[in-house]
Amino acid sequence: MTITRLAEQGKYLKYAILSTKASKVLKDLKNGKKLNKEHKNVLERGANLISMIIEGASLSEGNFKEGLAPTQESLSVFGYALAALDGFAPEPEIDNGYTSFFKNLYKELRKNTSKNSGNKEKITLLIKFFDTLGYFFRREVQKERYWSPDDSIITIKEKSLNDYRTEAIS
Amino acid sequence: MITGQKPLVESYLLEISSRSREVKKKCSELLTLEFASKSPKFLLDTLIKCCNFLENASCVLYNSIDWKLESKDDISDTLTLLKYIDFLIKVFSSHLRYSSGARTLNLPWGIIDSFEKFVEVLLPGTTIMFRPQWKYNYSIVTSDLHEIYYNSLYEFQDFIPEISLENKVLDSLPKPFHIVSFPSLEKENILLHCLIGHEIGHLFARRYFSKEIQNKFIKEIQKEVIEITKRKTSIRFPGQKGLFFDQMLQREIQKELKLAFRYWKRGLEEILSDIIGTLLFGPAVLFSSLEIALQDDYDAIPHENTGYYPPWRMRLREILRVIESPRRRFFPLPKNSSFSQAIKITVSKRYNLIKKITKIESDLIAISHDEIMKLSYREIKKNINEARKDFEDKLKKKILKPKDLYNRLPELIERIDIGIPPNAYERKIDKRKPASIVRIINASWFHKISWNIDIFDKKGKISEQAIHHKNKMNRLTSKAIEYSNIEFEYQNKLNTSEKVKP
Repeated sequence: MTITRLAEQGKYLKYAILSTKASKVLKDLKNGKKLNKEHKNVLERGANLISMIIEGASLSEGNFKEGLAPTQESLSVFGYALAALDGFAPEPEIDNGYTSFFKNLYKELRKNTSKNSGNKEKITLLIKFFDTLGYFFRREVQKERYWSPDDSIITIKEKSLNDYRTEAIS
Repeated sequence: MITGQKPLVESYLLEISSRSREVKKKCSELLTLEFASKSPKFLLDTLIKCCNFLENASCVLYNSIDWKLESKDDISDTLTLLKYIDFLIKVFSSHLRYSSGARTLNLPWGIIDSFEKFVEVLLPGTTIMFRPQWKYNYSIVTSDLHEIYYNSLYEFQDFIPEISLENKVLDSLPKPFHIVSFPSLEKENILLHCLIGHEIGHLFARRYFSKEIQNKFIKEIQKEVIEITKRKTSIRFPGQKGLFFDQMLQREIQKELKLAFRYWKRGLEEILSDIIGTLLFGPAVLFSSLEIALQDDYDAIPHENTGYYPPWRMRLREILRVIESPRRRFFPLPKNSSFSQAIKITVSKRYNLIKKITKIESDLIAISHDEIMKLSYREIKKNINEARKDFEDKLKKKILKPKDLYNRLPELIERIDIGIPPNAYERKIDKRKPASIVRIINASWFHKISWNIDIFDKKGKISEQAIHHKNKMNRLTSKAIEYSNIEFEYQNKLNTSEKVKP
């Protein structure tokens, strides 16, 4: 991964790692373990990530307000969050829009962080969310490892070799 | 717990450690080689420390697993974190090539120190590393490499809190640290290297994109983008309603907003960098940009495949605006100047040609066909005027003025004409002054545009004499930059009252 790409994708790598850590901490919480200071910091950062998603969702739903500072990053992260929700099976119900859905998720996470316990069903939802979110961030970061040329290049090769069969470029 | 997992994880850990040690070994080997500046060594030193850090983190992670109690899921999370560590080590190994490529023999080493000093004067405290790239492009990593590495390693600090990232891992890497790449094919083409001014311009341009400016852009276009997206989506899916449609519409809006932002940010970034490069290097940037634009399509509209670059015709137009600014008109050449008739005619012809190219508005017409692109470029136009005033204010004395440039430029051009490096003004031996890198490159450009050499020989092939002349001009320019830099250094070290700045 070039430095340019790491500069662009580095934040997604950071979020991917954070998502895995947040999921791990929430699993510990679900299993009855007590959260220490580091665990709470992880959940705090997880909550900050969700607040960025809320910014992106607000902008997308036309709720941009003065003082709210959505950026390209918020929009991007919201995009990954949407993909993560797609990965849920069954899909969660988004009754009042995405902003509202993520705001509720944020509230649940904050509650769990401060109370050192929480509703198991909600914790499961959070775990699922961070697991799938982490997956999509991970996939983005690993994209270039799995690059393969377009079919059009193989087509050109076939023509230039007078329609002899070409082997797939790997 | 899945039986047999422990030995597998141990084996993976051994592989991670081996990879880390291999990277460190390669860094140590490279550190024994010759570099034209200290910057590549800073990077190598840092890569060694990053690998040490990650190796330690991987051991802590592994040792945190309680094999008796952990469920399969928990192993999976720890394994995922180990994979991230492995991934980063592989990423760092791929960064070895930046320092490896920056060895003295791969660089136009005579000019590296001059450019580093030029950047230091413009942006005090900023460290630049130059390196060639196989890709035919000039580029800069505008993000601070120190910050990039910090963000990459940040989440692993929890595992080894006693090792401070800033004080023990990244302490060898100055902050900020940027890498400037130039096409290796053009290593000897010194005249094109004034485009490094454009790359440096990116470091200024980047600062323009504050949250307020981004906010302002979003506020200006948000409603229109939503309207356009709703209209387009309704046309594609006529009569559709309901929750599914609403969710799909949200995704489309998210995509279009992101695209509008991309068009705006990339387009404005490039144009602002051109403006700054031109403010610093003057006509040389105009002529070198034309030479690059000639290799491409003047009217290629921004697209994912082209990195959302704005059309070349638009870029040349904006560069020309700087050159023709009422306060700093570089053309026409002053009538009372001592430029030769040949230079006055040929350089004016080149300038007029660029004016003709930029008068055609086919690029603007192409952009207007895409509604989202049109919106973004409407905002770019507003931002350019506002940003230029801001940069002129910030750069002030560093902005090149026609009077200062043209004052003794003919003298430097004359030196190239007779085969002497244009490194100094020395009509008299006791009245000698080294020339700056900006003036040297401009002198070479004026010489190149005005040279009277037949490109073709009698047989209709490219003349060897023309190639030889071009190579000689590049060598003279490179030597001039090197000599003038040495002279500036020498005079400053003497600590004489006549201390001069490059």
